[in-house]
Amino acid sequence: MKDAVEAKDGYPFQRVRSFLEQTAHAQGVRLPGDSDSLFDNEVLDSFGLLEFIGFLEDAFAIKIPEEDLTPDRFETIEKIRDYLETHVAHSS
Amino acid sequence: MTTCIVGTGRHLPEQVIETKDLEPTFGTSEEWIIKNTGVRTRYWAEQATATSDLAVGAAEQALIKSGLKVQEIDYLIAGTMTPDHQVPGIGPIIQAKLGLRHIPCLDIRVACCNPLYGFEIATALVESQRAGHVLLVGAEVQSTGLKLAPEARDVSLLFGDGAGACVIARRERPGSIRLMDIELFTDGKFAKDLGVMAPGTGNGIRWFDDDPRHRDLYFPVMNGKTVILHAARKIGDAALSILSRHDLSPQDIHLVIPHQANANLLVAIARQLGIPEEKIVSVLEWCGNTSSASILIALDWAYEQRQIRSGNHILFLAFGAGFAWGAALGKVI
Repeated sequence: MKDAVEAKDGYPFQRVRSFLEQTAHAQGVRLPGDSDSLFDNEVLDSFGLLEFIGFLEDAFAIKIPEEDLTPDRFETIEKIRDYLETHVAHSS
Repeated sequence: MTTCIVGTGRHLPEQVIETKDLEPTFGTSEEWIIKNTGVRTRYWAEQATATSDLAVGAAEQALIKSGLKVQEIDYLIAGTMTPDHQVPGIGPIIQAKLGLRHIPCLDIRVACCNPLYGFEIATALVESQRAGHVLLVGAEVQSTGLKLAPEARDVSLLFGDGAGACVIARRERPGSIRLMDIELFTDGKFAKDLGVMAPGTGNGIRWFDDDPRHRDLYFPVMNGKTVILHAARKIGDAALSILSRHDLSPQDIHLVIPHQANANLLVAIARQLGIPEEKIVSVLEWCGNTSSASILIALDWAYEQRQIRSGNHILFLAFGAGFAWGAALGKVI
């Protein structure tokens, strides 16, 4: 099924997935399912999460507000997609 | 005449702990530890060493380098999370060991931000003429309070023991750093994301509690992902804020002396500011995260390495428990 974010706004969520796939590869692990934890599955550690946030901000020309800087929001691919659907769609 | 840092010092325990030697304790590899912390060696004090012992060593050096006598110090600010005793603070103990006059001795408890708070308080004291020469010390013996077990590796592997000191005075001389500005911030809703929860009155238990279920309250806790996300953002914003107040950009800064939290944060600071990593003073690799002492140790090290040069702008940055964070801007005379 096509990503809702892609369908609605035409922005490339695949870029997010590719970034995470590359990160997982660098960490020597596989990218887990969309509802599985990127932390527990060792894709994103603390610094990886920081880099990922930097990637999102650059890629989508947004500044994630401080109140949203909670690891929980970015723990799974599903949550990331939900977050971007709300925030990128509304800010674009 | 302006308020300046006129002398610095540092003192580290003798016992060097190699990262490799910690592999069995924490059930991980030297490679993992270095990749995740950036710390190759740290100093851990012998059990008989008190925090004030390290503080006195650093203070003595700062006095020598500032060309001042013990009797000329008229205010002591001591920052630590690991005092010799719960009460009194280490201020009075340092005062007695150093042989300072019967001057005011103040403990501050802003953890890794202690040096910046010390700069601010010392500047206020000197500029209001309440004090002429303020001795600021940051010291920690953290090793004896760390949990030495695999589940604590993300926290315990970072920390080292040590002390740093400086003298702040209304006295300019070549090489001293004029403190131009300081900006400090706090957001207490993150108080439980980084800290040591016990002993204390906020845990719903007695001050000292033998219940093994409460034992972890006495060890440092760190929600690493929340900490690094906020540290990078807040430090970056504080840096840009203080620079903008002086019509400066990050490129105008010759040297950044940050709190030595971990290697990843130092890299993140360089990226946030768009400056080369060479501009970031780092002592993390060889002495770990020494919390209250780290900026002062790094400053003394930078002097020793001749990185502090006349006319240069120096930016101090800190983030720590609270959350508390901030920036200080200096210019070398």
